[in-house]
Amino acid sequence: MNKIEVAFRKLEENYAEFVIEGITPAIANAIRRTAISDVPTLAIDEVAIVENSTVFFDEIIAHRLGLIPLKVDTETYDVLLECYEEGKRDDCVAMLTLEVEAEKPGTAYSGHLKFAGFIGEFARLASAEVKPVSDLVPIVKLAAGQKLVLEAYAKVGVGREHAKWQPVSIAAYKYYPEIRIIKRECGEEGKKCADACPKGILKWSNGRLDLIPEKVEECTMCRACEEACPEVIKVSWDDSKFIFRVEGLGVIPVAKVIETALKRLIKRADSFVETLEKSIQTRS
Amino acid sequence: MSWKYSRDDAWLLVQAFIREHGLVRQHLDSYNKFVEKTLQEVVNDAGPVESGIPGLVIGLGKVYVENPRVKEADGSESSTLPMEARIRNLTYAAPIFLEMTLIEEGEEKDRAKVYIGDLPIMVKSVKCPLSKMSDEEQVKVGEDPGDPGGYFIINGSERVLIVQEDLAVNKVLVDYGPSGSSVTHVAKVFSSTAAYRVPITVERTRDGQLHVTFPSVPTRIPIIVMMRALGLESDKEIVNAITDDPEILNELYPTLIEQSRIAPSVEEALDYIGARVAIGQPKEVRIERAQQVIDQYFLPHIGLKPENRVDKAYFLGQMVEKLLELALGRRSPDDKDHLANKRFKLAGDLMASVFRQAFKQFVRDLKYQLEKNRSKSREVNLHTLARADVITDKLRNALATGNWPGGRTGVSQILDRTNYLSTVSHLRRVVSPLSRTQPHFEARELHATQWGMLCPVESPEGQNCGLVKNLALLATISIGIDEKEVYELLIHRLGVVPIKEARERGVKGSKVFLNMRLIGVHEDGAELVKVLRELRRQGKLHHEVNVAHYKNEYINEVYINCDSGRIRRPLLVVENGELKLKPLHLAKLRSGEWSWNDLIRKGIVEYLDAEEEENALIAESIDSITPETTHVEITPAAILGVVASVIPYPEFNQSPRNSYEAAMAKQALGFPAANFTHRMDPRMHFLHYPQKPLVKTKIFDLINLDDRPFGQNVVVAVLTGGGYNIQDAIVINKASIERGLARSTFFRTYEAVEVKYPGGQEDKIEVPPEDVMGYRSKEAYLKLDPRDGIAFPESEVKGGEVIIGKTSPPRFMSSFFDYRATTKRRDTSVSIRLNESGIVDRVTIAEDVDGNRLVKVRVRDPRPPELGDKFASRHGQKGVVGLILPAEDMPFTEDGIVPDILINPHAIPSRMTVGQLLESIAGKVASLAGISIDATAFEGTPERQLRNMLQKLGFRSDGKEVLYSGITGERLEVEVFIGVTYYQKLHHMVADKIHARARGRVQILTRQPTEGRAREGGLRFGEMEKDCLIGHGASILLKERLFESSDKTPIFVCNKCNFLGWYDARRNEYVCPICGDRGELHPVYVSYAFKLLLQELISLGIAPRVILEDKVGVV
Repeated sequence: MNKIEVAFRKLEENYAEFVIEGITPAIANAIRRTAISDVPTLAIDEVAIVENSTVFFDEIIAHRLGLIPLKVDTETYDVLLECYEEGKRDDCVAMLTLEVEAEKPGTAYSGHLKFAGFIGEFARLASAEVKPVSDLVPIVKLAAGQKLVLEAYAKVGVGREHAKWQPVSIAAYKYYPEIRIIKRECGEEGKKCADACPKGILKWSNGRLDLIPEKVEECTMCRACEEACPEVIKVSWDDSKFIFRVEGLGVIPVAKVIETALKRLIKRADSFVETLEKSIQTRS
Repeated sequence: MSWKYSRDDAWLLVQAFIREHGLVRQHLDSYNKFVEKTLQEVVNDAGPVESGIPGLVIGLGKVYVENPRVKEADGSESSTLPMEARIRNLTYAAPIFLEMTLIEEGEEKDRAKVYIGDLPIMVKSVKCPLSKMSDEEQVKVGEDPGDPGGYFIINGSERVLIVQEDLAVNKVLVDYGPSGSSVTHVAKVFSSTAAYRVPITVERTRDGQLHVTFPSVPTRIPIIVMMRALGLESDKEIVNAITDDPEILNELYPTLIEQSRIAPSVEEALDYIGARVAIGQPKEVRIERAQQVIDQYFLPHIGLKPENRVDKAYFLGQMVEKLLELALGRRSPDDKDHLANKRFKLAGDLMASVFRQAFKQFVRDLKYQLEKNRSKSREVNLHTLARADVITDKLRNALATGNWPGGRTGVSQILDRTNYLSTVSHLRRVVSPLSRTQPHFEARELHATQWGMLCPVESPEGQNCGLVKNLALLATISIGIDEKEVYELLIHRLGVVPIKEARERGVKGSKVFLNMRLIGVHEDGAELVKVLRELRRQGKLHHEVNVAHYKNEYINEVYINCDSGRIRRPLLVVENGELKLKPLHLAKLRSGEWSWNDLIRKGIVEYLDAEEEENALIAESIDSITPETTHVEITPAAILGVVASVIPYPEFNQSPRNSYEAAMAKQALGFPAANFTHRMDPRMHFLHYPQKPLVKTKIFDLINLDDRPFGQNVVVAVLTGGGYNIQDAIVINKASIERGLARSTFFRTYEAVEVKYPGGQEDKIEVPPEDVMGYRSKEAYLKLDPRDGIAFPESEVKGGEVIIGKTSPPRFMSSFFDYRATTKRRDTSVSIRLNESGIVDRVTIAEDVDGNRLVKVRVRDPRPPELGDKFASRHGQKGVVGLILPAEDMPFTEDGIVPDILINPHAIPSRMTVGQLLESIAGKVASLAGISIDATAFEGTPERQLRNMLQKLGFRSDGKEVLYSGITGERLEVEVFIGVTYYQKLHHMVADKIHARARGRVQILTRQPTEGRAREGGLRFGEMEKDCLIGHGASILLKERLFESSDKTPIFVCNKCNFLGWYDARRNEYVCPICGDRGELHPVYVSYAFKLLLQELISLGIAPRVILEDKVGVV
């Protein structure tokens, strides 16, 4: 098997761009899918409404609360992950409270949510704090005199279950582009070719068509250039090399998302092997 | 000069128009005119009420309409507003007061302002306090300031009076006679006054003779006889009334000679008619009856008095001349579908006709009361004479049922509140009274004169196609102005010679018609028309006066119209090949110094009706102005109606697709009204996160549609979705749904009234005690508050659960089987409909008009999109959800964009909705660039521009992108078209339709399975299914479906008398009612419906016999 190589083009708290070489589309896709659907995060799952005199119905407010991304630090996250993997998600529930009363017209924001500690077996996480990624997510606008009082319970879950538990807004990749210019000296034809590229990867001057090397990775392999001048250029790709792009919601750092995704993937593969072996043993 | 009339200028004008008119001006103006003018006219027409007692008269004076108010059951009164009427199921109406004077022997005895009834008030009309409130004040009283008004509130429900299309009355229309009859040519007029409508026909038969027919005279009357009866003694006078053209006269001679002989004098002519209406009466009576008939029933629109007879003769002459012109081939038959030959009846006209009838009855009653009162006592009190309920009930009933005098039904309809567009469209609807069942191909077709008046796109499919129409954006309907002023102007100042004088003096020139009646002759018609238009443009003549001049070799006629019900549209005036509109005017308009009305007054913009359009040469844009051009379109996009204007790039779509969308936009969920939290409509939907479209048309800004949207922008990829979007289904992203896409709430309001019955009994709203008749299980009442018997707000309720507990007094007339029924109270609780569930949202407790307690409970049901819900784009592309696909399985682009919806590529080629593709690209550009893109009809952002923008944003200009499969992770072979399109969630949801049954409910009468979901019905095994089983020879199965599992019943037939008998369970024996115990009864299994038939026949006195035979013949 080929050696797997990874090169990060960009790595920020909530954004990562990297190139993986030496895997198949199936593996790349498994990573992507896991990042979206199988990395547990914390999100409000149950709401007890104490008072709601706003224009929104209870269920709308609950739905909106669920979609507010909640931030946890890495250590807490590990505990939550463990809790989830042990199937004890009801034992690590974070409680938040919200109480807003409008004297003059205003808005209830996510920032009004107050963390009120963990409940359940994992309450030992007391040191941790759960708070919204942004304090400026509007929950509901209030007219003078309207009031909203509630308790919200955040639980660990995965994106497969509900989109509110997705840790990333974007996880996608593309094949690594391979562009071959067949006829460099191509005259006017080349201008057409260069103009056709929406990403501006091609350069045409004095009847000569060239690639702009630093922009090659931007190629979407849309083949617009090929359609414009099939004699001049040929676009193909390497389907064992991928440019990944992951954008986090701020719940946990993207690096952590990828790491967890991989770990979860491996764990599943391991457990598959385990089951397989066990069933082979029981048969013989 | 460098300024050129631009599209922005055009929409500035349209905006000025809409700001001033709103969307329902036609209704409001018409109603206002009714209240302020027509009402008084109706009263004046009824004139002083003369009683049967000589010298005793009641004079009718001024009418006053007060402000809307409620009259409570206890007699107290207070002013009211629409919201109260809606919630309390009241009628939003105001009292009418009439000044009455009691006159005895010419001496005024008493004078009083008498209450004569309640007039339903149109919301936001002059009489509605809302019309004088600012937006903030309206909000304070629970009203949506964006609500257009123009409807009534009757018993709590909002009702619209639909504009009625009608053939122009009082207009002479000529046509060829029906083929195969002896009649070759016909001239017909519907002579109609406010009160009634009489068809009058002049026919020319093959022998060249002319006859006139009208109801109330059973036979045809020779035309000359009729004219003579109208007082034209000599042939010369008659000819003068008809024509001054020698050739037409030539054509008339045979008739004249022939018919003049019949009745050479006026008296003989009258007798001729009299002999036909008063058969066998003495001559004096005959003549008197004839005079009465021609005064009352012949051309009543000219007048009802003897002095109008000459005018009637001239009108008849006008008809004859027109008919002969047709016969001579000088003109072609009139086009009945031409808009100039149509009139439209608005809310005001419709209200007037009911009121007129009601008032007549009121007066009759008044007279009766007066006589009765007078004979009893000397003193007469005007207040007690007037019986107000006559008018109140008549008006309310007409509006509540939609049954109008004249036998028309469906005139008032419940206002459609699905979304804002559907409301507005409903208020701008026009219906034709032509029958739905007959083809009427010509009437249904789009007529050239409908350009700019009626929307060419928005009309239903099927039986109402082309008969139900909608007003175009800028179309208005004339309210009508007094004809007298115009007449005076024409005769005294503009040199029109009155027709009689003209004929006598032999004045030649153009015939001048005022409101379709020949009034005179002008020497130079062209000049007259020019002067009139000039006066109108100077604001010296009312803008509602329209003129037209028809001139050819034979015909030279000027038509001047100022009547009501003509559809008109504004156009920019061009004089000498130059627009009268100048940048200065636009600047004034923009600064607010001027309004639309100033443009009209200054003659910069003028309204044309279909008739005047015949004289106009209208340029579609200023580029096509020629020296002959008279007008320029404000904007071509204004030919569309409000709903059709919402479609982006409609000119790129196949035309029926636009019609489909116009129908579907009215079913889209959205934000129906800003006061929806207060409203207690029987059914209501609202979309949680409505968005304004990224690709908009100009209408959105004109009518604030952005504040009342009806859909959401979604990322759409045109891609097969694993077979789950075959046949117009759509695949929808699960994560999108979870993030709130297309989430909506459905509301249903349940109602209960605590009725107080006469005799002291009353209903009681409470938790029903266990011993009432029809007590359900205890669990059914669990959600009720024990204190008041109404479900707690925010409690979850399921189908069958009681939300308003109510008990009613026993029914005395109930069946005698259960004697307790007469002593025990019954359970009449209101429960949640089967198959439905929800959360109790809002409870109102109010008092209705009769002082009964009225409880309304609104239940809300959250509806996240699910498999089978219906969605549509704005291009007539509808489909149901076929699969909800997890986000990770959805295809994705390299940027991580995952489509919300996958539509099947097969939806595009055969339907040719290119507009949708353009919208998709435009939407993509809009979302990437953060701008809104204009896609108004005929002037949307061009494709080239969109493509350039998209390319600059780093995407292929054709909107295609590389997608990777979310399941295998591989690149999809081909680039996929993906973009952002506005999608509507339509109100057809599976939750309301899903149906299966596990219990065999049957109808009581026939014992056959019930029909329909609401009744837990079965699925019909229909005719064709029956044929299928027959075809297979599956007779046992057929019997099982149609008999065993349906209404199988044993009956007992007596083999002796062949009548039905029965089994007496108490005595355990079979009884025949005829043969007694000697009967020979056999059980026979038949359909219960058959048994019922036998018994029904018996009840009719028919003796059906059932003859029995052995199943297998005895050998």
